[in-house]
Amino acid sequence: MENQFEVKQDGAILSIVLGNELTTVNAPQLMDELNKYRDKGIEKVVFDASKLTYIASSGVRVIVFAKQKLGGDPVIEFVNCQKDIYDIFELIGVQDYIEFVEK
Amino acid sequence: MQRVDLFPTHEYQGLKLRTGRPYPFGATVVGNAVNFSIYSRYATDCTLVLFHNHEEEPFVEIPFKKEFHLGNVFSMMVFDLDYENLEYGFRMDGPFDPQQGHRFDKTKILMDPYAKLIVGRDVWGKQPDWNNKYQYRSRVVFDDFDWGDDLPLETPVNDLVIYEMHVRNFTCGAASGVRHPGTFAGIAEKIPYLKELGVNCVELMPIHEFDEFENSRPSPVDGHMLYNLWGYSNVGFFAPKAAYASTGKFSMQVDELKNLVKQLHANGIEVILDVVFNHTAEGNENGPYISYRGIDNKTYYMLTQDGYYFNFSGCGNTLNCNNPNVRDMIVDSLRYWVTDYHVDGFRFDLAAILGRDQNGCPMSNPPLLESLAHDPILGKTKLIAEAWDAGGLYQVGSFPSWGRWAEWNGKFRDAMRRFLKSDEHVLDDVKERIIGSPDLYASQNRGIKASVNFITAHDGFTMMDLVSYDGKHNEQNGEDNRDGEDRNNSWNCGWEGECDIESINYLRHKQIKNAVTMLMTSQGIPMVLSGDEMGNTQWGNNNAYCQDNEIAWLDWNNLEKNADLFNYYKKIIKFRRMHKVLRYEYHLGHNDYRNLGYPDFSWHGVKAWQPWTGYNNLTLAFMLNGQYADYDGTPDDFIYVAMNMHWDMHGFELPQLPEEYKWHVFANTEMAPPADICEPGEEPVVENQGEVLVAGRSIMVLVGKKPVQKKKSKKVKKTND
Repeated sequence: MENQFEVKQDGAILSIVLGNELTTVNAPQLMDELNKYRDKGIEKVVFDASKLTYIASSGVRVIVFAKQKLGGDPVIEFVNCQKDIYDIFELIGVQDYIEFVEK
Repeated sequence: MQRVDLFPTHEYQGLKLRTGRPYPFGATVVGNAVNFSIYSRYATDCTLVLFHNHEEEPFVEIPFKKEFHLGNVFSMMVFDLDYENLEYGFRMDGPFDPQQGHRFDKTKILMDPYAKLIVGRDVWGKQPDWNNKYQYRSRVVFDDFDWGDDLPLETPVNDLVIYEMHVRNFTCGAASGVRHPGTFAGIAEKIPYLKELGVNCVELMPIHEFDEFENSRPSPVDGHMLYNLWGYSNVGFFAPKAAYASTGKFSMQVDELKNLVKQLHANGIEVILDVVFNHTAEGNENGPYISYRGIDNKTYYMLTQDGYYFNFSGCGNTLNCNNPNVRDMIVDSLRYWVTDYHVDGFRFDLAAILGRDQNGCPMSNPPLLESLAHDPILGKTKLIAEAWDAGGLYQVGSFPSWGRWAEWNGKFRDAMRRFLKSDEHVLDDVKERIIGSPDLYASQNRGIKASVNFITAHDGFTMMDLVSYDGKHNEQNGEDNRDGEDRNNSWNCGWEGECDIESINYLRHKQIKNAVTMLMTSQGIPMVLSGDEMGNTQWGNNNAYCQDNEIAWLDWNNLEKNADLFNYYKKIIKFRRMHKVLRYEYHLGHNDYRNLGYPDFSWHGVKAWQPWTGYNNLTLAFMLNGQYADYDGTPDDFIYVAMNMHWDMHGFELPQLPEEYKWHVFANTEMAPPADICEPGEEPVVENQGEVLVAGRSIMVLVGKKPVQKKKSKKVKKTND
């Protein structure tokens, strides 16, 4: 499982590649990484979810954190999100936070 | 910087520990630790048992050290646990002496009574591994759901129209058209439907974790599986039913349910939970060890002097609700559902049990009920009692309320059903029910808002079956038709069961419209059984508790088949919500105490102002004076309802209205659709302002108001220029 996340910053855009799973095992690390960009004028966070097959509650919290706590109400983009993951977002009501993009 | 009180002080098999915090009970994430706390008065030792998700064997069992045992509470913090990949339970040691009420058995792994997430029955109907020694597994919840600005809606109780529904039955039917049938998400998909119907409160039949396999068995009639579908048998009081969430298999049921509540609130719909605090799923002496009996049997259950279980619930055991510690658990549970799930109210199943003392005797001032009535967090939460129990205690009208508790008014159901089928000598009773049952609720400042009126509920016939069956047909339940209520006050309109006879089907539809008109024009809080609005049938089964199939599931094809019923329900609900004169909070004066020219409420008969109860006591009319519902400078209209449950037509002389007012007809159940009911506010004027003819077994609803002046359109003169 991917426990280290590389966050790339390009101006006001952050890009993160997610691994197979985002759970309590690795979500805190991602949260820590994102926390470094709090109130730094981030306008968009792009998650590459091409490999993501499982997300737990703690993973969802990181997405909500990015939207609500980074400051500036950034756009949250999920690239290549698989249907199972999308369904979970929808069922627990966070899909409205996220723009889903196929690349 | 690390807090001193969050620093490990002990170690056990590589896990860091310290003395826990006794409160709150249950498992709570505190910093990088999980605090485990459990109460047991009589246990001598306790061990925390930790599993990785779904694993048969625990990865560690940690005894609570002596210093972790304060008073009667075992509490311990365990650091650096991967709590999303963690299931936990307890082993309790203590005396096994059933005669003294003790049933400790340290070979059993026990669920936490405060578990906020329970796994083991995550996908509905999926056979569990029966050899697994720990069936219902506690899990840890880290709550940070984003509620935005949502809160309980606090809709005035007298403005509610309650819709009693079951999570699975509502959308499991093949024609429901939802993507996630039988789940919280399925309900969310149907919110537009609920809004169109016009209800503003859903009452969910039990959604606490239960086991659908409890007493499951193949039907002796046709072999199909019978399940514990309704769920009136709690495994845990803090956890939502995992299999009611489409995300239950990912253990995200907490989020899915919260999302449903949030969406319902955003659409102006409250959520009431049907809660079952009278017993648990552990059954009697022969039942399984799930939690309570192994943790502290003598505390949690009412026991006879010989240590047997009292059975006031009819389900094998009775929760010892007025034991102070059990009482605290119940209060904690209710507070939790209000604070963490934002639910708006509770309906208490067999609530009379909550007023029994530890020996089973009814108390005049039960401390639990008083606590709930005055609880600060539940201060604006709706509290509704099913004011009877299986031990024969019937408290409709006398449930200890402190002015806070409402009741399911079973007397409303019985009187209206009898009137509907033209029983004689029921009119006096019916009149009490129409005006909000003052005989039951005028005392203790309870008022009309204490009366939850209903004609059908999950127990008993659906509305369509009430007018289609004389007797119950529960053979499919496999109990030789012995289960279920025998006294249904139903009438089949001339044929037992479904038929193709047009006149009978017409009468049945009319009777359903009569019933819902009685319900919506009576004072009190109306409750509709889910599916009645589309003519749902259970084919005469009046106790479909085990029928997880087409018998209990709503058939959404009925929406088209019985479109007239849905249209009628929709409009009569809208009518009620438009007219505050139908929604008084307190009982009426029956006189003109403000000198407005008419009393606030008056009874009539076939003659105006003469409530003569002729024709076998089967005719009555009443008038509400909307001027008395003027709280904000906008008086309501006059409303007149003529009910003729006699089988012949009768003329009803109409009370004369103030000058410039005219009677308009809103509904006439005798008429074929669409003339049976009109859009509220667009009622046509009654031709004969002196009398209306009401057909046999029919109801007319009139509105007294100033006719809307139609604007004259200006004629444009043609000119030749």
